[in-house]
Amino acid sequence: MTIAEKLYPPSVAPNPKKPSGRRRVRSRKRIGLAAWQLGTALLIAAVWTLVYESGLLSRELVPPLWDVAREFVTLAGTAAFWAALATTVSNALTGLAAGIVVGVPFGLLLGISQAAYRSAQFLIELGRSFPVIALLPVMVLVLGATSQMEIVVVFSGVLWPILVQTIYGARRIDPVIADTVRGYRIPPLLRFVKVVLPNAAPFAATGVRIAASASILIAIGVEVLSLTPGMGGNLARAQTDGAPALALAYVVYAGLVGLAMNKILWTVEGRALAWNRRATRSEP
Amino acid sequence: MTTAEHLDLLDERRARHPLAVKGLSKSYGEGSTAVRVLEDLDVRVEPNEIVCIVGPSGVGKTTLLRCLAGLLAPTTGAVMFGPTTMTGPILEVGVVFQDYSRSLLPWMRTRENVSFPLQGKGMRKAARRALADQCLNAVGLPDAGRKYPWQLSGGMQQRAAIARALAYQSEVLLMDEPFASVDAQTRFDLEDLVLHLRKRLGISVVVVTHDIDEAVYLADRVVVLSGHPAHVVDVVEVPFGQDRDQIQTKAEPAFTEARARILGRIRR
Ligand SMILES: Nc1ncnc2c1ncn2[C@@H]1O[C@H](COP(=O)(O)OP(=O)(O)OP(=O)(O)O)[C@@H](O)[C@H]1O
Ligand SMILES: [Mg+2]
Repeated sequence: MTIAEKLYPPSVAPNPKKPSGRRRVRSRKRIGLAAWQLGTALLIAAVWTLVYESGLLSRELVPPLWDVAREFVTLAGTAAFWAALATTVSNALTGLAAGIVVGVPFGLLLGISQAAYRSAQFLIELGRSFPVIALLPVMVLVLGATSQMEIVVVFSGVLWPILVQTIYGARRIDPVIADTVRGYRIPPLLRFVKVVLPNAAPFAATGVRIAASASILIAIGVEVLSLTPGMGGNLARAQTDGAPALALAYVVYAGLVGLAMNKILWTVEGRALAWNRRATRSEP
Repeated sequence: MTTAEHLDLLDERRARHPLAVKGLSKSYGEGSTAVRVLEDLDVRVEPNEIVCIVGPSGVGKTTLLRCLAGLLAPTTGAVMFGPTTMTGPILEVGVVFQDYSRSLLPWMRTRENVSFPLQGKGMRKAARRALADQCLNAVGLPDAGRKYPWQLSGGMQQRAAIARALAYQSEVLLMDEPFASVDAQTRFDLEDLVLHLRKRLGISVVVVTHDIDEAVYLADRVVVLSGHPAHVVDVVEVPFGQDRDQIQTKAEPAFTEARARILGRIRR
């Protein structure tokens, strides 16, 4: 499976109206959820320790959990780690920003113009299923193992979810709303500003959220494969230096960065598109 | 101020032109797979009249209403507003859709939902707001303007949709099963609102419904559609005038008679 394929869950559209839940019921649900999540974490830790103790897998590959935790804490105290984290995140965000700047306007354009959509359809199908990582050797050859190269690869990976989601949002206007707009003879510009844009916004936002997680993944992937400076570069080096605990600590940090990014975007989206969250009652 | 007094503030807009379909047929699909839904219909809505269209589910009532609104082109025949043939939606004809919860835009507050069609007409912002508030008052929603549609109950949403059609200042109001999904009391209130609007503003109204009691209560004439393809099987005149009462009118012998006649027509 290519990275690009992983980026497209089959349906990420806001759901139609669901009946509202009571607040108390929801908070109880949340506590239940936290308990489940804690349970899962403990289970994984237990299995891990069991595997380690039993020696089922080579101890070179599976370090004791405790070592990973120690490396995790030690890393937080080193300036080099924070510098690597900053590099990776800033490269990912730059690529993501470029993806938004290109993907959203083009998505809107392709969404409202049937002709433009038809002529670009093949290119989009190709682009979204193209494995960006396969481009890596060529990119390294052309641009070197640099941040610029990394940004370009991130961009070419995250563009597609943003583009495809925005197109979908601009095209998928509820037929009753379409009738209303036509019946009240809303002129094209007003229709675009007051109907097409807000209709597409939650879809585009979903695309951006998917793209954000992907941008971190791609950035780290590129760094691991091409030893470009950053978290991924350090991770790969730790692996080859025979320090699996350190490598795994990096992996955990990478996961946390992705998680934080998703949370932040979810919050921002909730503020900006409050109507959608409330009207459709979606949960993270 | 009461709702009725608020209504009195709205401009009168005496309907001047009849809305009519002449020899209207409508098929969906093309070529050999085409399905004829409406066959050679002649329906005429006189100025200031309320016409109800009844018929079994799937007979083609919505199709007819969409043709009347100019949203759907007839296969043969024509839709006429006064002397002119309609080729698309026009200012003078406003629509309240069956699925009101989806026809109000969820990203706009109710007041903006009511006023944004006026922006398309080139009205200034202050005037739009004032008219929107007036119309919301007139349908009994004085405090809903700042709320989002999804914060309103079903009946309130339907009132907001009516306010939007009123603000658009159409002479003819087309309503597709407007009260199908509200509770009985709200339904009665909304029916009386429609009667009141007709009397006070001088508009014409077309109401599609599958509720025969509602049709007889509201209408000056009930058009009964039946068959595949659908044609007009009966037109029933209802003699109650402009002032009606949920209890008294429905107890009149003429009411029961009209009701029985329509029921018989649909059953057959
Ligand atoms: N867009 C369409 N394409 C093809 N067939 C359609 C379309 N819209 C409606 N029909 C068909 O036309 C017939 C009439 O539909 P219509 O919606 O006008 O019925 P209706 O009388 O309004 O029904 P209801 O009371 O259930 O709302 C139905 O058989 C339906 O399947
Ligand atoms: Mg219908």
